[in-house]
Amino acid sequence: MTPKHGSSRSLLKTRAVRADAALGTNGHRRVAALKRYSPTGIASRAGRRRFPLAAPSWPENVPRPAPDHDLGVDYDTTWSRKYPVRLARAMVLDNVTRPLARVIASPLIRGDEYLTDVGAPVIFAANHTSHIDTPLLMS
Amino acid sequence: MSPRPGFVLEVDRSTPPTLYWHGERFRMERLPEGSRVIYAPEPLDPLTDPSAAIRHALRHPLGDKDPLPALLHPGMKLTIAFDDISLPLPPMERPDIRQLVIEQVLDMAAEAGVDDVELIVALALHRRMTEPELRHALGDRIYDAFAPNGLLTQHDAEDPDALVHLGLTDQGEDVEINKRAAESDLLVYVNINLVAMDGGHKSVATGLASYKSLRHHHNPQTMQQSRSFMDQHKSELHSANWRMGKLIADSGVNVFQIETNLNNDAFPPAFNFLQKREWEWGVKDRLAYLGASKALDRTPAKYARQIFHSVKAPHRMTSVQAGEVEAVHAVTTDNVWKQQGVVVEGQTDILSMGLPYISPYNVNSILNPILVACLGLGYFFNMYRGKPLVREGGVVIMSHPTPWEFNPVHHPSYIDFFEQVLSETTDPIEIAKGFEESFATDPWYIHLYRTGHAYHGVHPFYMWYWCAHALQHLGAVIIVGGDPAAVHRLGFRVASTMADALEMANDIVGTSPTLTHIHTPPIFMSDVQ
Repeated sequence: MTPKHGSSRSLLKTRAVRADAALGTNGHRRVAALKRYSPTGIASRAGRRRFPLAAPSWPENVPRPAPDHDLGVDYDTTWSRKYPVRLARAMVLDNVTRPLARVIASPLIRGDEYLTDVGAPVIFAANHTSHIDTPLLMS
Repeated sequence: MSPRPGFVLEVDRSTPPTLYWHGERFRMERLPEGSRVIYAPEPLDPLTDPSAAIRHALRHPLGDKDPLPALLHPGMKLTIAFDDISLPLPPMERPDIRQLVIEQVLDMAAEAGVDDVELIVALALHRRMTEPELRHALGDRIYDAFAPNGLLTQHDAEDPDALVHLGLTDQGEDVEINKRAAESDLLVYVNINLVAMDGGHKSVATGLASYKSLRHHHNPQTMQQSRSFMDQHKSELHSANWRMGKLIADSGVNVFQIETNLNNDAFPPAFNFLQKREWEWGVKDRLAYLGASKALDRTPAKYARQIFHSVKAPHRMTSVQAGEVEAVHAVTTDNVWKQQGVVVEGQTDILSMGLPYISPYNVNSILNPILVACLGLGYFFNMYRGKPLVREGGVVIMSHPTPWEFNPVHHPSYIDFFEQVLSETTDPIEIAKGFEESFATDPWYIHLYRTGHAYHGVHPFYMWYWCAHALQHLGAVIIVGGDPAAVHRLGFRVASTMADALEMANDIVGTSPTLTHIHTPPIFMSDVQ
């Protein structure tokens, strides 16, 4: 039977229901937060992102404009010249490659004064004698 | 790279959701496959030296008109009238075009030794502009030189001493305009052309006219016979204004018309996403959209409105032409089409549109329900040439919150129109017959119009008449996300989501209807083939 309005029983019941509801909500919230910030949760959300959170898809019946090329030949390595990738590469070179190269070899550098006035683009052609040429030249 | 022309997209499964204005907010809607979305042409390149272009136009007029310097001489009476706050939209960044043009006219007048110069805001039955608005339009130099001496006035359509009746047209239409303008040796009119309806003879015959004159073409019959009023050659509104314009010229009023075209660059870079096609949004656009939409969702409408009304448009002048009214206006209209024209194949069953926060009649104010109807059905619906975008008996779906909210200072008679008139009938012809006269002659509304910043008592009627062609043509109007009470008062239907609206529309136009969405901003004109 539904208690009458104004009776103490009904007030008690309402409070109890509210308390239960609050507990339930908080419990759900905690579990939801754990799931949300777990590695699987983040990965799954990243996969589910939709426009405008994710980049837009291109309508099938709209021709894509020809991409702007900054190289003479159409290589599929444009990504490697983007700023974030260049930044990451510089960090790896300075903090990993260079110290490792110095551990293995102490290069003797001669003629670097000729590079002072050289402007890009430049091709460095190593007289390849070892696999360590690449890290040495780059660092 | 030259600006791209307008574009009609056919929605497919890869098309991203489409952006809709929703008053002071935005919505993203995924439209059904096969729908069309019309995008405006990109902004045309502006003039590199606007001041030089204005000088050239004044010295090399079009039509049967002498160069402006030749029309100026000592002892003459010169009046410069200019468009009011309703143009352009949003208001443009400083310097406003009116300032650039009027400064040059004044320089030439000073060189010619003209002393008797007055400036008049051609506001017809619109509200009077405030001092900051006038300073923005004219610049401080002009305002400070003219306003303190009473030489900058706002047209008063209810001052019998400031009006002169020039006669009747061959159709019996009264032509009553501003006395100072009519009695001047030269009337220079400075126009900003944003849509094809603006300019031409309408500048003087409407902008400087009285109610007695305006009622001949601002009525439901004229609007229903204008297909559309944005197409000069099929517009009864234009025909009436042209008849009046000819009578004004025959009465000896010497009008030197200066018209300017703007590009459609309507929002500053922070809002670039508004004018871009969604599939071309870059990271910056997406971040700007997410930031703006999330912030606006949490901002009370009143403050969101203030934020938007503070936005100034980076509009730039693309052309300026001066001289005889009709010759000038022909060039202006061509230029409007170059910027705004989009060719569209065939009509649609359902036309959808997202309505913004602004219309010509609520700058720095509230877009009340009557103005919502006018913006959607008066303006957007009529932005066509040939045939309406939506077929006869079709449905228009508008997205706008449509709050039951009015600005009592700017729109006092709108409140009573909404409460007393629309509660009785929404038929424009019945409204005109039964109610117009009492509102138009109400002394309190006239007092507020003349002394405050209120639109004339009859103005809400005109806004409703603006919808007359659409109301006659359409099977139904649905507003998505509108206040149910306000929407029902307008005689429209309300839907909470676009999906619901489409389902409701299906009941009227049948299953599997065609849908076309007009993607604004910026505005454009459809050339429906």
